[in-house]
Parts: sequence; structure tokens; C-alpha cells
Amino acid sequence: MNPLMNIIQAFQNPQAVIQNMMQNQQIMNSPLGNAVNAASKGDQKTLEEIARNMCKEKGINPDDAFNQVKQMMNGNMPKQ
Amino acid sequence: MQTYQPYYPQMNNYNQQYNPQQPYMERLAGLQQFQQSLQAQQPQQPQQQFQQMPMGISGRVVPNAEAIAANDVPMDGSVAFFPMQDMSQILAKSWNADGTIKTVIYKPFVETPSNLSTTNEKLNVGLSDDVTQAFMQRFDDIADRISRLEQSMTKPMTKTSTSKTKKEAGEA
Repeated sequence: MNPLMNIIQAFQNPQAVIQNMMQNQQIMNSPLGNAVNAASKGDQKTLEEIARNMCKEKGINPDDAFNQVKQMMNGNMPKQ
Repeated sequence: MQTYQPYYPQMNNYNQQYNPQQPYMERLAGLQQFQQSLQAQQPQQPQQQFQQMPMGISGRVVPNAEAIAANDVPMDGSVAFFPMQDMSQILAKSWNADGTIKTVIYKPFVETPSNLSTTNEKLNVGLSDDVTQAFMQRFDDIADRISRLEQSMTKPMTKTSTSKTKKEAGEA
């Protein structure tokens, strides 16, 4: 199966994709897997730490990125 | 020429059950059964088809370490390898769970026959040193014993010799 089919299926059934992802130990050791795990537990602190570290690695100012996302959402972000 | 109708087992099942002549309750029960069978099949389908692609080694040849961007490191937790153009080192980069990038540097070690012989010689020297040390300790022990024996032998001899000289002096 080609990767395009995987992407289409991810849109069709995201829950199954996340379940499948959580079974893969390699992905769960990545920041993406850790973020999914933290999000499922409602651990905002870990999520923020992952996001800030990733921004730092990619040379992005995390606060600027947060403000940009906030502007994109037109103020529909949850209050901190 | 014979024509073949497409075979859809689920739809076929549905068509069999959809009959306007049937009583409503029977049709409803049939529809519910059909819906349940669809629901049971749906979650299993993506899991069977969502397969991981067999992947090769990710990464590329880079002129220096600064040429590696964070986007070059795959987010699925696998390791990307970046050999230097001059083959001075290979950088292995992967994402940590906390969102940082881990870098492992592999540096070349050229094993030549001369290197092998020197390591062997070093081993031999080490072994002979140990052996000689053991022997020397043994020799030292023996030398100590001999010297102690000599001392114990010489002390009575000197005594006797002095007594003899005294006797001789008395006789004279």
C-alpha cells in the first residue's frame, strides 16, 4: 500500500490511526508519540515542554509561534 | 455473450432483505443486522490495511553539521544518518521524546595490519611484564631468605672464632 492510501485512511478513521500509532514503540518514543500520550492524559505541561523544545530545535521562537496560532484561531484558543 | 453481474456480498445481503412486501419489523431487523455487520467490519478494515512501509536508511550526505536542518530528521522516531562529504564523521540524529534532537557521532577508525601488530606487541609486553614481576618477587624472596640464612650462619661463626682466639691467647 502506498503512503497516500495511509494518509487517506488517516482522514477516514483518525482514531484507528492513533491506536495503531500507540502500538508502535518507535513512534511512541518520538516527540509525536509522547505528545499524543500527554494529550490523552491531559498533561499540558509536558505538551508545552515538547512544543517548546521542538520550536527551539527548528529555530522558531515558541511564543511567536503560539501567537501566530492564536491569531489563526481568531481568539478561539482556550484561556491559560 | 454472457454478462456477469458484479458481486457485492454486503449489498447482496441488503438487497435480499430489502423487499417491500416484507413486514416492517422484519425489514427493520434485517437492516439493523446489516448495520451491525458493517460496524463490526469497519474498525478492523483500516488496521489490516494500515501497514508500515519498509523503509531504508534516511539521511543524506552533508558538507558540515550546520547543513542539517531539524526537518531532515524523521518524526517517526527513526534515526537519520548524515555522512560528511569528506567522510570525517557520520552524524546519527533522532528525535527524543521530549522534543529535542539526539546526535551520535561516528568517527572513522582505520584498522591497518601495523595497528594490529602494535596492539599484539603491547599485549605481549604486558604479559611479560607481569611474568617478570612475579619472577622478580620470587627472586627477592629467595634472596631475602639467603641473606637471612647467611646472617644466621655468620653470627655463630664469628662467636666461635672470637672464642677460639681468646683460647689461643690464654694458652700463649
